[in-house]
Amino acid sequence: MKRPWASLARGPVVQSAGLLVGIIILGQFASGDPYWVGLITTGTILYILAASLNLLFGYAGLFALGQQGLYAVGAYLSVIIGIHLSSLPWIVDVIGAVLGSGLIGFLLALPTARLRGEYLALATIAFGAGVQAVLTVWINVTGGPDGLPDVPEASLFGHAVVPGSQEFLWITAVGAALTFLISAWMIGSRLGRSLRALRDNPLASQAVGINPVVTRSIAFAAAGAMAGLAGALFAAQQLFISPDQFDFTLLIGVLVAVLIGGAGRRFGPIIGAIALTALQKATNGLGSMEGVIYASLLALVILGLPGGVSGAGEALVRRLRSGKAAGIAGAGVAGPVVAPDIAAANGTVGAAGSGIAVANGAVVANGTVVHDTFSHSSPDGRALTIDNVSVQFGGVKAVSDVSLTVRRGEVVGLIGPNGAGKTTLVNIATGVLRPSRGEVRLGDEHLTGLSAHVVSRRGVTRTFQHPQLSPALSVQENVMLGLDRASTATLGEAILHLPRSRADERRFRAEAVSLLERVGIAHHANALAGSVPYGVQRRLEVARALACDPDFIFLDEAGAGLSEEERAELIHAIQEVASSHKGPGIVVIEHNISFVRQLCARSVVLVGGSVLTTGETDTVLRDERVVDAYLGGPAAAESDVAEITAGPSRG
Amino acid sequence: MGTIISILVDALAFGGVYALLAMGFSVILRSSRVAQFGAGYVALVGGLALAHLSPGLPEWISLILTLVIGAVLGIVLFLAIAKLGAFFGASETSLSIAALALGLLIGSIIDKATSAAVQTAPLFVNGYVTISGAAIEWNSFFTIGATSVVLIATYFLVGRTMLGKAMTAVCRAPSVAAASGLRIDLIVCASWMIGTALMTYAGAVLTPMSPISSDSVLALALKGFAGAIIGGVDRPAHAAAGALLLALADTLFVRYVSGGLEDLFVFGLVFVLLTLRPGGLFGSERIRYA
Amino acid sequence: MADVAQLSVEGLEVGYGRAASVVNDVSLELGTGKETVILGPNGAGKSTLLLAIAGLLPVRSGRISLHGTDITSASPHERVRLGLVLGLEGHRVVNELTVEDNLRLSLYSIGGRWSRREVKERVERSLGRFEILGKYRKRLAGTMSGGEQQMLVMARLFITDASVLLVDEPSLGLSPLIIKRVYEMLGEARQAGKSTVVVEQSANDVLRGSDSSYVLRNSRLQKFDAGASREELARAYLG
Repeated sequence: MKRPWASLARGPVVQSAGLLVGIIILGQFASGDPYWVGLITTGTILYILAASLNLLFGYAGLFALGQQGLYAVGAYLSVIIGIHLSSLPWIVDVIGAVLGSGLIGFLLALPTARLRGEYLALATIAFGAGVQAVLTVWINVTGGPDGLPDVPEASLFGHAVVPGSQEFLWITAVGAALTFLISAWMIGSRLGRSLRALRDNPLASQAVGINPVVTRSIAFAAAGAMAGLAGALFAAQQLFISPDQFDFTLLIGVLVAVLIGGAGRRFGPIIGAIALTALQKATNGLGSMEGVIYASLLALVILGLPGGVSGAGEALVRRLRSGKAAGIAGAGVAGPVVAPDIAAANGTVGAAGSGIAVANGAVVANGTVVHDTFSHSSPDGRALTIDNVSVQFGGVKAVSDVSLTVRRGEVVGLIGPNGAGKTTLVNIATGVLRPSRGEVRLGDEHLTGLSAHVVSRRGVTRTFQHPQLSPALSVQENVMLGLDRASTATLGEAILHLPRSRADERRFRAEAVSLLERVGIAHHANALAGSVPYGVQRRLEVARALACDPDFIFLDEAGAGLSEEERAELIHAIQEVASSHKGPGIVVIEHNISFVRQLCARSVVLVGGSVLTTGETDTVLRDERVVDAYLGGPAAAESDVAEITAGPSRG
Repeated sequence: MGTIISILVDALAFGGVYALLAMGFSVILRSSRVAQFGAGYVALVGGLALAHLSPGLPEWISLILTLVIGAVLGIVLFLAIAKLGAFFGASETSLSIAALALGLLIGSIIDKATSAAVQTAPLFVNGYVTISGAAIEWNSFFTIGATSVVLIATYFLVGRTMLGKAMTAVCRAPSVAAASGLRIDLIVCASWMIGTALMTYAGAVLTPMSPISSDSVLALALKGFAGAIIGGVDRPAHAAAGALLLALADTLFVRYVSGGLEDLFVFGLVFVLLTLRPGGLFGSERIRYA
Repeated sequence: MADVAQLSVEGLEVGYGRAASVVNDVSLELGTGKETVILGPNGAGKSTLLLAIAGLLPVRSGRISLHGTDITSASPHERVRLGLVLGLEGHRVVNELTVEDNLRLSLYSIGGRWSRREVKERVERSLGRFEILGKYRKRLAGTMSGGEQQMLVMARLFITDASVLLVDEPSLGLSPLIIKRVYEMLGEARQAGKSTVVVEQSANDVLRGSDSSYVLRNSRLQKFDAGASREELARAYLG
């Protein structure tokens, strides 16, 4: 039975109001004792900072370790604006700090847009340390190492608000509530989906047209703005700021908070802020033991509790609900040593890079160019033309002078033995690889050389040899990734949860479900994409590709790993899609020949990187040359048979 | 002339230390895919060891002992991070943070256990020599020598011995390595031993010149990482070269431009190099892109 | 003398991640000096089967025995030590090491069994046997052609005197001359009493001389009569 109040309780507005009220009530308990009120205030400011790091580190999966720099920028900006423009109310100082830090965050994202992992970590560490250095050195503006002692007090409507007071706590509580609300809205919007998709699966993100640089820059700007807010509040609380308050150890503290609470989770920063504040209070008297406890906790949480307290809490709730034992998050693989590149190359959802089979290293076969002349002209829509493309890897031609034309509504098979270059061709057609020669055209539009996400937006999309999904998003949300680009609301409207964006969301949710129905997996809509059966994942990828409303789809071994019934269902779904009004042109790459026979009226055979022949599927499969390609050359065949029938093993 | 020599000696002395850190970082990263962000604290262990060993023993024995201590610590870290982490199924990012966390832990334990906030040790060699009017400490030459020996030895270890070649195989072609029967576990453990030993040695060599403390090691480690990434994190030799170049640039800047702006210069340089040449100055292949 | 099974595989089931099993209920027995050929369309799971037998992939169920010893959960290292070696698909070698070092790696992995002198002798013998390799001994393996790399793979398979050789598509993308040489070597191996399992996509060269042949199709092994016609084989592949 539906429990409306439960879903209401999950709503961000209610929750953030709850947060606000909770903090205020907490303050009431401590009223009278400025020390305790101050502690709660500090904890609240820490929450805001942790939330900003959570956005980058947890949700966007970026190894961004420079947040203390943006925090410092916020603090200093608010003070400097306050000092130089003292006639303006304090709230303007805060807004200035927020905007300024947001801008710096954005500017930080641009040059680092291509970095990931330890490279991004280093760049952001350098940024954070650099900010500290600038603050130390720019004495005229920042007061240098001695800092700025005359921080203007916080004030609201003319009243000065003293740190340690209830009023100050309320102000920070409002800041915290706003941070919570906007974070939740952001993550629930298409921006949040894009961020998590980029985090979990850059390949899939490319295929649905997500622009990594833009998405990342916005995340950095938002995180910067939040850190700036925290900084401004911090300055007003301390009434004194100096560069050494913003060093790397501060970041480590915030990181601990995020990890303990649970990275990439809504309540993570709250739990983390509470835990860290409590921890700091508890270890205050212990002197150097503090560091030991701190660090041990961090190590334990990282190794043993990958989801932090939130994650453990969620797992517990799931277990209580389902009554079955939930597995340990990420239990290790038992058994003999698995060579990592093998497992990755043949592996599971989220194995980055497995969709691109680089070095399908086949030797050049006799590269006769066979033009695709069989397709009949179709009245509607432009054709996708792959024109004489070639590409080589280290001297070996993976694809050699291949031409292929597909029209909308057609289903064309692309077959050939292992290493023939089929996936490489798809990579070329979708912009993942740049051909050394030849062109890819959509009608008259040139697609050659455009990035994969741009090609996707122009109307050519694909699925991968192994399903590339965002495992942390639900099945429905994965499909919405493809729909998001049709959004009419701007990103700003999405972040602020304005009506037009809400309408889009509702529309997309419904459309996603109908797409899932088309491929027969609608009943899995709310399950996490990482937890559904393989067959469902495969079909989810197809649904997501359809969501992009493409003119052309490349299905790379969409049937692999499916059971007989699942394959039949998939075939049915593909036929239905292709034959629908304004249906896309579909290229099916398959090893399973019966799959191809059932689906594709026309097929192209690729051998050794070149087109061997093309034509009606049944005809092609009877072609001696094709049989040879699969079985080996004809010349030996007769002698094979003769020798075998002649007697047992030689020698 | 004398100034130039003095600058060069300074740069090489400190550069050698950073190069050791960079090399250790690279060796561990390429075999186990974990970024040992706790390198600074490992160096602190080396400094601590030297501080306690040097009063009673000849310098070279204490230094060799720090290598041994580092190797043992490497085994411990390998078990804690690589093995335990694999058991819990932690990702490489988590393991890198775990490495930092364990480093912090080590640092805190050291702070708690020792009374000294800063580790100091007497110079390896006292006195100075005057060259072209500049007074250069003998200790600096000793440092250069001590770091060079180990850097060169490691270069040969990684490039010329079968162990080193096995490490390369594990790093570049893990499935071929496994199919050839190599014991991947042992090889990864060996790289942790070597990498960690390099880091403790670096800390030990540094301490007489510049006393080491748990506060100062972060900046030290940062220079090591920066050098490694700038030079090319996949090849230990490149990583070391990157660190040396960084030290040279740093020293030149401090002498000729401004000492106060040193940090800004180093961080700015690191940032710019990363954005322009993410693959490292010498072009490393294993770059992670968004 | 009774034909003792060198390699025995029973009811093997292997799969990746959460996908349906790629290899289902596969059983094989290999006697001394025998060659088994496994054919099948690509994507069928032939490589997967070999990887699992070699220990580079975990098995979901089933048993693998080598000379009577159960090795189902043994590490790849142990299997090599006991005499089972695998030549990977795509003539993979360690590109960044020289030909000589690639060979030494296999001997190094079973450290202690041979003295330095013996190691040197084995490497020399290997390089001498495969003329191409001898010429390129100091060259980085990654700079050689596919055929030359396949020679290196074969040399690696022989250098430890392994008794069971698993070879994955040794003829893929190679010239007929090289393919001929590869199969000659496999013939020599069998004469020396080694057992071989060869996985191939194309049927030509392989069918001659094999003692038993199978097609891996729909994750299962179908015994394939070496006397079958080309049409039957085509049907097995192309449906």
